[in-house]
Amino acid sequence: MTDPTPLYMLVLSALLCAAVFYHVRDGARRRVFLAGQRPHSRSRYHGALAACAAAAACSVVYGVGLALRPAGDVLFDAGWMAATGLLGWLAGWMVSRRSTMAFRARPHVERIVRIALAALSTLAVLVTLGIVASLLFEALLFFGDVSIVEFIFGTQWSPQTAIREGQAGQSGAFGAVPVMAGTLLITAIALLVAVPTGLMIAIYLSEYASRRTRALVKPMTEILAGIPPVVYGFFALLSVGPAVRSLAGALGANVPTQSALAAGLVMGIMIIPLISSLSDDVINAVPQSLRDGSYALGATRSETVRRAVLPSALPGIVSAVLLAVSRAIGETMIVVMAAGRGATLSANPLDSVTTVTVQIVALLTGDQVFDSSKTRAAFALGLMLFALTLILNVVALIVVRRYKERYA
Amino acid sequence: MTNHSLEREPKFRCRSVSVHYGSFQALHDVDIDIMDRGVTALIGPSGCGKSTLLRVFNRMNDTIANARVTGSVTMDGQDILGGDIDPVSLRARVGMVFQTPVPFPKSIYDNVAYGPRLHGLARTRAELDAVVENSLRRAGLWDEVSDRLSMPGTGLSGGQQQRLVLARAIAVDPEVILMDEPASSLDPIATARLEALIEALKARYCIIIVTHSMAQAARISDRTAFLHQGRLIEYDATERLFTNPGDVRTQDYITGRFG
Repeated sequence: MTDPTPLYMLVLSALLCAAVFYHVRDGARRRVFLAGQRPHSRSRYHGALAACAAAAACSVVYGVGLALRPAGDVLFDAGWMAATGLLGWLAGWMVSRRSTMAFRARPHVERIVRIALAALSTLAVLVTLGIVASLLFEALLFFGDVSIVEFIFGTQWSPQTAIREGQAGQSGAFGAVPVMAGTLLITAIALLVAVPTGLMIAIYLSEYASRRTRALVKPMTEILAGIPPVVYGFFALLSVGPAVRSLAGALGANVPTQSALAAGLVMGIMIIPLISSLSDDVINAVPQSLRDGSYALGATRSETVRRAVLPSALPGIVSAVLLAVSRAIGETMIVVMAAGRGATLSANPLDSVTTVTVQIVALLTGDQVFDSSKTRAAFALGLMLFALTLILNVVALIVVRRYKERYA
Repeated sequence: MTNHSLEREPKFRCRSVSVHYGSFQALHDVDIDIMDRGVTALIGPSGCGKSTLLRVFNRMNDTIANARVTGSVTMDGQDILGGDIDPVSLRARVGMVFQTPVPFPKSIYDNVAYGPRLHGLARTRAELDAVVENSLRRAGLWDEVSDRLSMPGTGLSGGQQQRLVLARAIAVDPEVILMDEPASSLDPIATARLEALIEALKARYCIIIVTHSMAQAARISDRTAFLHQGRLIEYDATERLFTNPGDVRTQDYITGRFG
């Protein structure tokens, strides 16, 4: 049984703050109404400031109580609750005492809102830094066991041997090249499928389709985006993989059911709506006057699309593609099911390959001790993946900004 | 209505031209002849149908989904509303400049070369260079941009952009240039430059200009048409229309009593 009291305390504090807000606001409103004048701050700001004070008091009581609290002491809990109610109300009352015509509650409330928003965005930054730091820390430990040069340039990936104590001198091979190559191969196949298709869909929807067709087709493509990746995984494993295998068999090649091609094709289908939907939005945002200018020069519709509309929409399309790339690189479920686990270094899309995400899953699932080189390798891979997407994003941002500086 | 006939054979001959946007009729049975090598101004209050009429001459109304044009329009005696005329090749003969200049997101050079490249008007790079230079010269922009042809067209000032899109239209070597309130986003100095340019260009081209400024119409046009509520009220030599209007509505409009 977990102890529910801290949760009750939070609920109690929230209720208390709400009560303080309404009480102080209505009190201020009544006085203003009687006086018939215009106060510096509207009554709801008086209420909001009192509620903020109550919330601050409640948080202090909550924090102190949580630190001092002996387990299962009913008497202490009762006192804790009483202290929250009492001090919270007292804080609200201190504010309400100053609630007069001249009380400048509004600037205080605005400042508190600003500080709260800033605190929340700082939280996002801190979480990001924390994740990067933990990745870095574990990865550095790993690089203590395996040299960073071997990790980045090694072409052998067989981490399974690392924990077999019996094999003298064997410490496994942690060359990440085949794993990275697998990720890049599958991502490239996915982009080859998704970028042309998605872009064509976007062009058709925004430039050619009637309003009715568009109203029908756009939601349909967006449904594709709503299908969970694991369902795409079935599809890859049970339909596309065997289809690729039998097609290749008919052409005389022997191909495993799990292949980079099958995984890449299905992943491409998965990211089509991402590209088509975002590109459609940016193409629609191109001003009609630009198209008119092109038509008036005797350009056909396709010439206008190719020479005037697409160049204007290019920055937006690049960022759509980039989003799709990040999604493809990080995708796990489809490749776990459809690409295989053998770390072969190959540029042949019909081979079974493995990806960074699949290897991370393989390294961290099952019974593991979390301080072996094997599990730490997962963090190193994660760091590598993170660095890759970061570099891609930065490069694309620079490209887009250059272009915008020149033409927008 | 007075004086439809021109001394010379007209460039355009419109007979009972009506335009509908959905169920709204923007133009009612307009009969008008437009002369070649001269400036014809279309004036009238907002919503009178002057831009709609302008867009008849290069079939730009085709790009609006629910627009419908009826009646007959001929250019040099050839029907241009019929199904057998290709609006794309018509627009290569009838250029257009819009109210706000919108350069393509390309360099100055590529903006001007856009049309010639589409229509294959230059076979070599040297020919294309010559077309671009010529067009920019005729649009009065060459001296200002000759040393920065590879800079983006969007970086020019408003008046320069308007002359850039004019050069862009000239580069296709059209016979007609349509202008839809070309000076409405320009300051007085840029407007004066544009008007001087129109004056120079009318020796070569048939120019039709929509304008809100009656002073501008009086300054630059040879003939003026006054439209009101989708109908052509009066069409005459500019001097006569402004000094001795035949219709009371024309008189009210040019003396500023409405519109």
